[in-house]
This record gives sequence, structure tokens and C-alpha cells, in this order.
Amino acid sequence: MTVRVRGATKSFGRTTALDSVDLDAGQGVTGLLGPNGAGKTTLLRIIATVLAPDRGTVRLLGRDPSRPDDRTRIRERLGYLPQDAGFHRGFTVFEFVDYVAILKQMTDRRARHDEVRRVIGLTGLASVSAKRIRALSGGMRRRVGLAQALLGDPELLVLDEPTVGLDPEQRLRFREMISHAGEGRTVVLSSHQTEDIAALCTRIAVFHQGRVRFTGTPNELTAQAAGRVWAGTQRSAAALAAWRTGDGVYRNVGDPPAGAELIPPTLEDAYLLLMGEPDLEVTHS
Amino acid sequence: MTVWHLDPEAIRRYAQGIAPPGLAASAEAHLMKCVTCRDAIASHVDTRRVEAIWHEVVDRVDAPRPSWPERMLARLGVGEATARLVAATPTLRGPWLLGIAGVLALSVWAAQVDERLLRMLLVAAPLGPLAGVAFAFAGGLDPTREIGLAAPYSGLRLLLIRTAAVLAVTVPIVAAAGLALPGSHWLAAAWLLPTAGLTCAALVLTARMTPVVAVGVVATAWVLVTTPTAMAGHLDVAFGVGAQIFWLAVAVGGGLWLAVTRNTVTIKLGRSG
Amino acid sequence: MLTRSPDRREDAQLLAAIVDGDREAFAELYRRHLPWLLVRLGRRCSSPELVDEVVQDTFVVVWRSAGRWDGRGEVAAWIWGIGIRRLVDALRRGRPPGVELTGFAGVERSAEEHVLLAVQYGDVGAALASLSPELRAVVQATVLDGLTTREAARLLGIPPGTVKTRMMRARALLRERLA
Repeated sequence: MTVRVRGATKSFGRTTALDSVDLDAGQGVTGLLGPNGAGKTTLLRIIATVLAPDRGTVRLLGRDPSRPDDRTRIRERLGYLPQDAGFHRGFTVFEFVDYVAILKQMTDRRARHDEVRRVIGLTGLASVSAKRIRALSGGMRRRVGLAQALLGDPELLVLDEPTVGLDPEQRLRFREMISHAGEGRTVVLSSHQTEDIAALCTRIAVFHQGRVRFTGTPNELTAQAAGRVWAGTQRSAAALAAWRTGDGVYRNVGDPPAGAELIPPTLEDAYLLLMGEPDLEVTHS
Repeated sequence: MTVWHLDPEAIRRYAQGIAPPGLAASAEAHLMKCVTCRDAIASHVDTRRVEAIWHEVVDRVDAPRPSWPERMLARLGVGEATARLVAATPTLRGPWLLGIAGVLALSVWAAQVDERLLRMLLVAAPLGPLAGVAFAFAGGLDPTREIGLAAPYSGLRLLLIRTAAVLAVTVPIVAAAGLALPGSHWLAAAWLLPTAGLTCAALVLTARMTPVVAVGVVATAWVLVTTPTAMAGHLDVAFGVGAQIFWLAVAVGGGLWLAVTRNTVTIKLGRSG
Repeated sequence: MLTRSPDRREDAQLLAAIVDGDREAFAELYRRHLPWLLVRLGRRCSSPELVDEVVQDTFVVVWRSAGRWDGRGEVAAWIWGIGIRRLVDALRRGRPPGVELTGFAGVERSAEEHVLLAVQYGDVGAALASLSPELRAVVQATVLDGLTTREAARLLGIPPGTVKTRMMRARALLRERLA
């Protein structure tokens, strides 16, 4: 396992952001799913060695990030896209990625520039590499964030909400890049988009209020909703969530209305059921 | 547009450099105006050479153009990568420097109006560089801090690089302000060692707290101790010979401690790092 | 990088796009203008390494100062102006040993061939070809390459005064032969 977290607990003041969380992640894409504030970012920051848990143990790439030496070794093999990846806005794309490459201790100028060009090419930014970041769209900036995370071909890639703020086409492009990145290395990402998770992840952990509610494959999560999703001509008052779909049929998750028939569930249905709250914020498109 | 074109044989000879002067001269005059003939030359030029030059051009076009501080540092023998890090220090962006300079200019003016304020200026002088160090690590000013925290680059090294950069810029500003003061010039230099000592103390504290908090602690202590004595006219307590030796010792001690513990102590550049 | 579908934009449009940081426009401009520039500068300097360096510099300058093209005349002529001046600068910085100026002297061909080509390319070409290599070099540097007397002097490695006197002699001879 590239990532092994046991009993990780983290509080900020009186708020418990993470409450005794376990997580394993190996090769492939592992997704953390959950509403905002569920603890995904806190856990990702711990996995990115930026944050130390108050309690619990963490092993990354077989090493212990609480030891300074180990932590440096881990960081040499780690790529991290933070949630609010900031940029020096006056930098060009190339300058910014080059700056991060220096922080990643690539000192040889020539080799570093080649590597910067490589990740810029991988993320489809070659044609804008000389543009200032402040002139780029949000989607392009997200790509710049991904480009810097890919520097040095890291074995562990930590991506916090990589697809947030992207339009549908850009999201597809991002999925391609991430699934490509997931070949032969470990990717841990967070999202509150069930579609992204379903499309990308080999394993999922569902977070709610600082705890892990589910771990398993996307299919296992979807299977949890089997027998609980109904299509009918009316809305069920007792359903956890019910909405009228495009073809005029009500989709009821949870308790069925009279005369409804069972239909195959989706990952989103299962997620809704797991969260168990009808007024929960869930994004679907 | 021209209607006639160089014949393929003429182009071949020109491209291979074996055209006689008359032909070469007319070919060159023609080429300036004729897209077709310019394109025709391309097939006589080694593709690998074209690609190789392109690679070099692209590298130079992409590569960040060193700013003047970077060029200056390079001349002083600082590595290219380190010079880039220095140039990206958030505090070194214009507004903060203008801020520090503005506050000092105001203090100098005030000191000329009231002599007690002159002493206060000595108290305030070290705060400029210290504030610069704190700003260099304030989350809101360093947008890439989170990425930097996850990078293997040594936190202590980054701390020292930025601190040195901030001091190199702010100390001359404060010194200039000091020289603008009325009275003896020792006053204008009396704050230097205290500043060095305070900065080193703050750096040592980053093993326990973030730079912003560390600077806050040190600066608060400094102000609380020196303000009452300075106002009472006892400048010797903080700036006399004994005090100067004390600050020198603090600076040297702090530096030594950082050097000795550099591999074992974790510098807290960010919250809960 | 350099092989892609043809770009239909005019050179001037490419320059405008380069001002906005358009890398594809830059690649296209390079594809169009590198070959002839390489050949033309190659005729003025015997060191291919130095020519490569000068051409590199030239395109870096094109990228950085595309906005300074005044929109008049051919973009090719503008690029040439940058290129030839870079060459002059490079030579001034110190001519590496063994680097000689060629091209102006021309490669001597049979007299017969000279005459044939001169006929084909008109009187001026013929008149030029009939000048001595020294005079021709001066005419070429000042008239065809568009250099100032001082720049031509640097390029040819002779004093500016010599450029002026040679130019006067060349002018007189040309007038005579074209009359």
C-alpha cells in the first residue's frame, strides 16, 4: 500500500475535522467523496505531508512522515494539487511551473526546463506556456496546478478537488489526464462530484462529518442502493430524495410511492442513501 | 507580388552556397518579396539543424528572463535556482517595500518635530525588517505556500533565503531613514545589532511556531521592554555597549543553534506543518 | 512541433498573434523564415555554429519584440534586419579563430558561367558580378543587406573610412557599366 492511514484524528480548535479515519490506497485512483467540510481536504493535506494528525499513524510510500528525514524522502516522490492552488499571478505558466520545480530540488537548469516542458505538454498547456497566469481561464489555471503536481513523475499524486470549476468538456479532459496519471502510480483525489468519482476511481471512501462512512469499489457502493431506487408517476413523501426526471417520471430514492417499479441504482443514489439526509448538498448534472 | 520565380536549380545553388555573386545578389533581393521561393529553400536545409535550433529558441523563449535582482545575485555567485527563489519572495513585491519606506519617512519627520519620538524611532527601526520577514511567510501573501510545504526543499533553507533577501532590502531603507535624522550618527546605526539579534531569535522560534507568530512574539517583547526605557531617556538599556554585545551574542548564538540543529529540527513554515 | 497543418495566416497576423503569446504562430513564423535566414546568413559567415547562434538570437528577439514591427514592408525584411545586425554584433564580440567571412568574395566560377547568369538575371546582377570581391562586399553589405557604414565596417572587419571609399569607387564603376 502506498498510503496507509490508521486512526487519524485532527481538530482545529473545537471542530473535529477528522475523527479516527482509516484509509488505504494503492496503485490506481482512490477517490474521497463527500460534502464540503466532511474532512476530505484535511485528510489529503495529511497525505501530502503538509499537516500532521493529532493522533493516529500515517505511512506513505512505506515511510513515516512524522520523521524529518522520511518526510523529505516522501516529498521527493509526491505531487500535490491543493484545493486553492495559488499562483504568483505575474508569473508565466512556464515560470510558475519552473518555480515549483526549483522547490522540488531540480537544480540543473537544463534538465529542469526539459521536465517543465514535459509536464506542460502533458497537460496541454504548450501553446500558452509563455502567457501570464492571470490571463488564463479558471480551467487553464487548474491545468497549471496539475502540471506542477506531475513534475518529477511522482509515485504518489494527491489532488484536492481537481475538477472543481471546470466546464463539462474540460472535466472530460481532466478525467483523461488523471486516469492516465493513475496508470502505474497512486492517485488520491477528492471530489463532491459523484460522476467524476464513478468515472475515475478504482476505490472510494465516502466522508461525512469527519468520519469515513464507506470504503470499497464504486460498484460495491452502487450495489448498496439496489432495491431502493424506484421510478413512478408520483413523488414519494417518504423518499430520501425524489425528483422528476426529463421523461416525466419521478425518481425516488429510498421508500417507494404506490405503483412504482424498481430501477437500477447509480452511484449517486447510493451516495444519497449513505448520507441519509434529504437536504444534503449533492451536485448532479 | 512577384510573378516570376527562381528556377529550382538556382535555388539549389543559392541554398548550397555555390551561387555566383550576381545570382546570389538577385536571389536575395527576390527572396525578400517572394513567399514561394522562400518556401522552396526549406527543402535544401537540414531538418535536424532546423529542429535543433528550434529547441534552443523555445528553451530561451520559455525560460524566465532573469529580473535585475536575479542577474545581480548571479554576478555575486548565487546559483540560478536560489536567485529565482529570492526573486519570488512575497515581501519583495513593491507595495510592501513602499509601505515600510512610507512608515519610516513619517517617523523621521515626526522625530524632527519631537525629540522623544527620535528615541521611539530606534525602537521602531528593527520592526521594519522583522515585519518583512513575517510577510515573507504570511499565507495570504505567498500563494504557493501550500505547494511549497509539500515540496522537498528544505524549510530552513527557504526561511534563511527569504530572510536574507528581506534584510538585504529593508536594512538599507531603515539605514537611510536613520541617516536622515538630526543628531549623532551612532543613533542611526544603534539598531543594527538589535535587529540581527531579534531576527535570529525569531528564526530559532520557528522550530516551535510559524514565522508570523515567531516574529509577533519577538517584536512584542522588544516593544514592551524598550518603549518605557526609551521614553524615560535610558537608551543605554537597549542600545548601550552592553546591550550591543548582548544582541551580538543572541545573533551568533541563534545562528549557531540553527546550524547545529539544521537536520533534526522541523521548521514550521505553515500552520501545523 | 514543427510539422502541422498549414497555417493560413499572413506573416503580419502571425506577428500580431505572437505579441499575445501565441506559440503556434511563433512556430509557424519560424518554419517559414528560418531556412532562408540560415542560408543567407550562412553566406556571410563561415562558421555554421556562429550562424546557428545568431539565428537563435534572432528568433528570440522576434518573439520578444514582435510588437515593435512597424507594420510597413515585408516581415521577412524586418527579420533580416534583426538577423544581420545580430551577426554584426556577434562578430564584434570577438571573431572566433578560424571564422572568416565568405559569400562576399563569392565562389569563383568560370567566366562563361558568370556571363550566362548575368544575362539571366539582368544588368545589375552582371554589373555587380563584374566588381572586384572587395567592392562587391561593400555594395552587398550596404545596399542589399541594408547596413549602415559603421555596421558594414564591423561585418567586413575593415575601417569605416575604407567602406566609404570603396563604396564611392563601386558606385563610379557601376554607373559606368550600367550606362
